[in-house]
Amino acid sequence: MIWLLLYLLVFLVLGMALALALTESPTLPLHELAARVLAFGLGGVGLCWFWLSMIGLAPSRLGGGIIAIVAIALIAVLVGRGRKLIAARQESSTSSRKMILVFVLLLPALLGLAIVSVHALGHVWYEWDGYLLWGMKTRAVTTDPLATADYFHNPHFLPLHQRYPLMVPFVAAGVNGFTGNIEDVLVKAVFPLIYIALLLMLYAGMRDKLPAWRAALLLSLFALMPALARWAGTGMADVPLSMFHFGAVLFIVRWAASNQPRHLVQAMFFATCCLFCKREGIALMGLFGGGLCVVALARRDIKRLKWFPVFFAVAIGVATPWFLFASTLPKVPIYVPAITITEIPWSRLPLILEQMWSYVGDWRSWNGLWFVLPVLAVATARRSGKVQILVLWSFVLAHFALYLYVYMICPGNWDILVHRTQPRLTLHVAPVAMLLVAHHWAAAMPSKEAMDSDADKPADAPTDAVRT
Amino acid sequence: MDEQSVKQIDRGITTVFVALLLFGVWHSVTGVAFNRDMLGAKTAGSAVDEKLESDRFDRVYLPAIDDLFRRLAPDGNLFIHFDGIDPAKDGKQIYVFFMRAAYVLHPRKVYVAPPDTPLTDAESIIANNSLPDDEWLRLHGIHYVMTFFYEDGQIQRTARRVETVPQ
Repeated sequence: MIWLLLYLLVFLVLGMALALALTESPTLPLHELAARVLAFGLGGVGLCWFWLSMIGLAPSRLGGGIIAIVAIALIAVLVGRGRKLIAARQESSTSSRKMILVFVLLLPALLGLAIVSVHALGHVWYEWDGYLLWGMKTRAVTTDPLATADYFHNPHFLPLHQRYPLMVPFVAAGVNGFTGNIEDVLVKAVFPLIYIALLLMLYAGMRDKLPAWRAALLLSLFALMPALARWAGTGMADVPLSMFHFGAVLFIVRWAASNQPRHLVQAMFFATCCLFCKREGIALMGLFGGGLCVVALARRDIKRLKWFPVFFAVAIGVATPWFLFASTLPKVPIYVPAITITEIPWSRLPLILEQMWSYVGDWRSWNGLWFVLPVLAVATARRSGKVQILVLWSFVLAHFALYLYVYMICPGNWDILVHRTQPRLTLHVAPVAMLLVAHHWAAAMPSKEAMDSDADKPADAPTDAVRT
Repeated sequence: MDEQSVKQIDRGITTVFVALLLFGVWHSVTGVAFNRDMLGAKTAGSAVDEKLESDRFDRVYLPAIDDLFRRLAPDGNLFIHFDGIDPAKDGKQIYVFFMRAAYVLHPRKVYVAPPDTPLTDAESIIANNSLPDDEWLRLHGIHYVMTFFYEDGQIQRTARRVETVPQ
């Protein structure tokens, strides 16, 4: 257990260093600071393990020590140059009654955490894809550096997608590296942590628009979604991708309001993590690019498009070592040749839409999210702010269009693929949809409460106000 | 829209969210999200053997299946021989046995075919699954051979230590 806590410390130290380097403001609200430190730490540690493994050092206490020392050195340098990052004092008139209300509304989220923890720590890695795709890779990168790991070149394991990105395996392998064993169960301790990071990021995003009690209510609604609680602790890469994807979208949306380059830099960091988390991350880069264009057009500020090449250069540049390594790995002969991206079998469209609707339309699995969102959008259409909501809607709709297109061109048993993947793939965009719900709800708030909520914000918080 | 109407709409939205949250809590507590079968992992016993022979691989039995592989192959690498197993009928078992064993025993290796053979499904495993001689087994660090075979229409298993490997 002590080693597990030390590993957590590595996340926090590296996360703090990255937050210090990338954050736009010296003061952040505590929830915002916690969200960024944890999310940056998770992504940063995964990338660091990969780079260390590339030079011959598999995840270990020594490697963890190196990451921590480099992070502390970075913190020292940044602090020496006058950078600060402290939790902002909340100078609002938050009464103890309101605090109790927020606490009570957050209790269901704790129940969600308990469910996810039982999935993660109550059992071995049990999902077929979980242990074959991610568990196996976790063990492979634990015992050998990438250059010598037999797993990645073993033709016995061709169907296990040896080219899949390694963010999740490396983050989990750090547990093995720190305990010194190949853990059957404890290795999955990182998944509740990723779930917490996702919730903190979402809460931070919603607090841009909503007072604490409303954000807490929506957060608990999200945290308890069976579709999320079902998968977050199982050891799949979908919830980690949801977290990084949400981070990228959140900071693009904030950039839309603030035009602060550091918001975009943080979006770049999360976009890079998406690339290194799941292969869908490559497609999501297209959506991020589209999102930047929507921001520039909606703001009627074409100058913002200068960031377009920078965004891609940084994200792809950081991920290049991964792409180079992956290009040396065997291809999967059973799927790749059959994909054609130009010939679209349109006859599938109604059947795929019907299948997708059967999952998205199951209101119990999503706690009503996909019904509430359009109804709320219509109900608050006249009062909604334009740019941020437009950007968020672009992301949600483009996301579904992208996966619809993938299902359309998918070779072989596409109906089985839709059946097996749709619930997990919809998770990737669910946090963005919940943030959109928060934006629409904010538009329907009574003006007094909206003003109270504004008073709670730090001075530099994004200010694309509810009624722009 | 006047402020009174805004308040009414806001109250309506809040009520819907609270109702959905209460429903979500109920859903979770009663087990829809929880998968209550997750709570009790089964230990080794006759039920585990039954599961090994059935076509279902219930997740609660996985720890016991893992223990089985560890028990029957406590050291060295493992060769799994599917003696006469029909991939058309029992393809899933073939694939699960091999993959779960490979996962559980890592970094020890599990062989079902010569190391350079691409394996993509149960058919390709069976096509390359001839039992090598003990010299080949010894050269590949294989200490145990596990054999699956049919008996009375059911899949049975046996394990032996390779004779040329010192005790």
